[in-house]
Amino acid sequence: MTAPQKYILIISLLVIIASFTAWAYTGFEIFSKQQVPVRHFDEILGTSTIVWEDATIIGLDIAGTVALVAMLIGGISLYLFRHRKK
Amino acid sequence: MVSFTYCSMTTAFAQNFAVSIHGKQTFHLKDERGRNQTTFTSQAPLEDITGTSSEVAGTVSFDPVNVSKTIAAEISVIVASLKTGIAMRDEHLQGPNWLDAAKYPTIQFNLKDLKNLKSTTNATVEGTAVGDFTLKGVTKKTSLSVSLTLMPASDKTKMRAPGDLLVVRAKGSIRLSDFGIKSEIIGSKISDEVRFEFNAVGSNATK
Repeated sequence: MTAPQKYILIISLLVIIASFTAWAYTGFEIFSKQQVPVRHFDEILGTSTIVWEDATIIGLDIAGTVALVAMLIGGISLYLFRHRKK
Repeated sequence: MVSFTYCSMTTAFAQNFAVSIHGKQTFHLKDERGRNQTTFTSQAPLEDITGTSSEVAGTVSFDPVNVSKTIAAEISVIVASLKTGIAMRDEHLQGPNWLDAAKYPTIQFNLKDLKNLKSTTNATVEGTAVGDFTLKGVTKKTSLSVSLTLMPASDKTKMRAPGDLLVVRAKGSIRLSDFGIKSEIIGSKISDEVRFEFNAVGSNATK
């Protein structure tokens, strides 16, 4: 394996690991979200209300896409930087 | 808008409220802080969706002495105010293939009857509300579990709103297919059966 190939492989693997780590950290959601529901309880009235709070939830749709792109770029780059017999 | 019309209610409503409220009362279900809210949930294999609408308004009026003959109510929910946490999904939900907010801006429920009324406390009555539920121009008879709590004005209630307060809670479910809402993603991303909850507080001192 050539030096460029090693670097490409490491970077691709890091990107893939990072994307799936982010996906796991934000709760293994299928679809990404920009807001999450937070329930507030009113002790006087005895009612509960949902308030939407801004949050970055990375779903499998984004994480999977990033990982797939990293694999494609890595795979193509590995092929392009292979040793060629003269 | 969702129209809640109570056509009848037993006198148990008046008999089970240990409060000194006399004469016909009109409770306005309006809260500028958005605490009046409708929540819906969909549980499908790929995803559980929670949505809300806080643009809820309406009125409930009745005479505590003769509730069954005098009560009437209407509630409004704006379709365009529905939120699910994903802006693109909210846009699709309000689009012509789903709820079509432009053509049908409100969801309506007209109450026809209250059944199985029982008093759980001196201030709360629970029962089953049967009425016409209108969604996207289609009307279906629907039953809801309803709870009504009457709270006379006090130092605590004044922290929320002036006057006497009426807390309305309702739960129910509908099937999207019953209202002509069909899509290839129903069953996988969105369940056909959607459960909803309604929580609103009305005051007889506000308009």
